[in-house]
Amino acid sequence: MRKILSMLQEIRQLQVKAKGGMEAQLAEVADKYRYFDEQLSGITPTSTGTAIEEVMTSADFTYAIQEFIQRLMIPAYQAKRFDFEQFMKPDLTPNFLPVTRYQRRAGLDDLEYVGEKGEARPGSVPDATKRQYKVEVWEKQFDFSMRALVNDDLGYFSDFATAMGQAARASLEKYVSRMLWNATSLAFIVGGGALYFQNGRLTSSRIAEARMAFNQRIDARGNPIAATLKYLVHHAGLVDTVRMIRQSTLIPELATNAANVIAGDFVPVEDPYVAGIAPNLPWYALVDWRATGIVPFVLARRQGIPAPLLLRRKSDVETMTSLTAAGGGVSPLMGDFATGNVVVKIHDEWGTYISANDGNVFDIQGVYYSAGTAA
Amino acid sequence: MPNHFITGTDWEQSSGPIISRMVHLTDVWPEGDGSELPAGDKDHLANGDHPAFAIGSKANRPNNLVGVVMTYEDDATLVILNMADKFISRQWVLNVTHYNTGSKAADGWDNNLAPGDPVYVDDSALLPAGMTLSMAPLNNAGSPNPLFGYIWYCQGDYADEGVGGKNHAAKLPVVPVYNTTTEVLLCVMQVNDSGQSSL
Repeated sequence: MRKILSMLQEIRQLQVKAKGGMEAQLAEVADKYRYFDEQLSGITPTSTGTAIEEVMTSADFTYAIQEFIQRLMIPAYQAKRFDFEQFMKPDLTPNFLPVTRYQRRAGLDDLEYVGEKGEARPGSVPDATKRQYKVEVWEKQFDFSMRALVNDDLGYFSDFATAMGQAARASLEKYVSRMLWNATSLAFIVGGGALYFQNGRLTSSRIAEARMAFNQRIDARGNPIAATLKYLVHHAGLVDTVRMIRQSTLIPELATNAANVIAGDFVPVEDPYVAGIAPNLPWYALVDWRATGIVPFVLARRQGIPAPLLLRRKSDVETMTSLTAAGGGVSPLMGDFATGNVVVKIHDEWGTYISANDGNVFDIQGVYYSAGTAA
Repeated sequence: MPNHFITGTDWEQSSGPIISRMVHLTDVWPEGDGSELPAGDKDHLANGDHPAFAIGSKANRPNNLVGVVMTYEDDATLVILNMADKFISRQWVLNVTHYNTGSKAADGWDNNLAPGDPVYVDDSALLPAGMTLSMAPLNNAGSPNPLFGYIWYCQGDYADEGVGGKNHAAKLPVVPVYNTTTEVLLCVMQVNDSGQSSL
């Protein structure tokens, strides 16, 4: 309204000016429109201010305004993943009993010279290597009171099923990490000798040493086998070291122009669970079981359980309208009849080869380990 | 050092059993002002606390029922206890096995807190705030303490490396510094028979 009045004032003043009006008439027009403005806005010549005054502040409303509560969930942490599937051989078991796997790990005898009228000597056939393993059940149960779930106005438990699935995944990843790094597995690898372990910190030269160690692997007959370094499993603190090795044209740790021949020849896998304090960070080299037939580690699941099951105890409560009529269903939030407990459970099944001597190493020809302690 | 009755979400260490029973706050001890001997208080119960208590008159000691608090309604001062036999909960336990009734000081200790060791509800002054259990069958006045239960394994205490689990060794027994009063967070399997039956 005040804008319109202002525009009318300008129009009228222009009209008076166009008709040759005097300055006094122009001033009179301005005075009159200012009067209109004052009457409309409530600001009079006797007003103490020139703007509308705020009369009710937030603080005047102790309960209606000042008691302010805003509760919001913000996004949770994003968990790291351990992408072990790429180097882990999967297997299925029909039940919880041990399954047995056999593998031919050596060829036949070499041929031998036979002279004229000579007789070929009989050869021998190496026995198969036997490995047994079974799946175990891994679970965790959570009990909630019905009231706790009803009172959850934040939606704190709304993604609980997702969190349950993530817990199962994290548990499995930790299990796999322990397969690699447990003391028995490492002692077994160290016992293999220099072609199976070292203590050096991760450098491109040491990856080359690991690769050359794989390149010299032999079977039980002493025949060379095609063992090729494919995966490099490493501590989380070695991510940039690995990137540098992979992106350098020249060997990064040497002040020479020697070519970095291993830059693109391995696939790095960060294990977020393995322990280590810089600069003594461990690393592992593994073969690709698909390409070589050498299985470093195996992860078994039971047929029909490819993923964790999220389970809830069915409520034993129903609604009723009479003692004799059939009852009706209720929300799972009601929990059990006795105390209103809501009980859920994560169920998963997995297992691996476990040996008092070998740890979890299915085939030592597929692994190379470094404690990462030597400079 | 607890300073407060045990709280949080990991106090429950067995999936059951649960036998839920309600009592008034005045029925449980040691709780509140003057709850310890000769004076002082262990703590004031609040909803969300899960301490182990004895129930009923101290004149009955040691033949008192015991239980673990599941919920507490402070408007009515009503306590819901789990009184189920063989229920396991996580509790602070003092490793003292005997007191000098004159000085009230400890003069005996359990230096090897192992599964099956008996645990008692103890109102002795040496137990700091938030702690109601010790290894002592008698309090610092020489009165018998009600048996609460027995040290047991928590869920993650077992040696499960043999099946690919994370523990190379069991986390029990706990071995405190020799003959030193030590507050230990342990799992305790409660019984309600005053020790009259075996495990």
